[in-house]
Amino acid sequence: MADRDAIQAQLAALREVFLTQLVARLDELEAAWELGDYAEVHRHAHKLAGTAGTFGVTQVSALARGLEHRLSRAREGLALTEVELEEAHGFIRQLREAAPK
Amino acid sequence: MTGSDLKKILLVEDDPDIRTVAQLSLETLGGFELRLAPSGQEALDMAPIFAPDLFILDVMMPGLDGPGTLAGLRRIETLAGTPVIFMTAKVQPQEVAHLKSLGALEIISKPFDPMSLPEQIRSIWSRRNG
Repeated sequence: MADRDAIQAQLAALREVFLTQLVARLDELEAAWELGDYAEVHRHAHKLAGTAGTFGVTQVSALARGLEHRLSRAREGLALTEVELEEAHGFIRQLREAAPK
Repeated sequence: MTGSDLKKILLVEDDPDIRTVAQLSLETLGGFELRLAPSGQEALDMAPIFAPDLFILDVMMPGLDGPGTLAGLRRIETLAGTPVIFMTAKVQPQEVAHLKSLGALEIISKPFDPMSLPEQIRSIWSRRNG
């Protein structure tokens, strides 16, 4: 059996790398948002929710999951309502605030 | 059969970070012989040669998704009976029931805990053979 402490240290290191890259990931997500490419924002949000969750960055994961759900109709090629867009934008703002500065 | 018969796992996951964590978990910690495929199509290409004991498939992937990958695997004669576990963030009962109806052994919710995933997999495997 491998050394559990060593594995946890490696996981912690990966988590740190993820956190340092988070702002750049949010930049990409927001660039897609500015273009109105909500299916692409959905894709970024899904990925971010999964990765953040895997690294135990639970607040970011939950916010990204919320964003993903608001945009689920865009993934099916459907137009989003104003309420959905408003709520989605709120999640993006909260993700910015949650990211390490 | 017993749990010790599970050696080779092919895991299909499009996210490189999650592949890295899964590798630490299943290979380094769990001691499984692991192959990683970044897409369903690549899994279909690798699987006949690697001949895993178990597939772990992410459900939502661009291109060929988890259920699509499973359908492809079932068309390969030598792999038609190989057990499959799905991983998904969507674990509502109806979604789980749907995935099980496709022939999945079990559904593991994401995010998974890398420190306990090997035990979880072994437990699912031994229940299957129990």
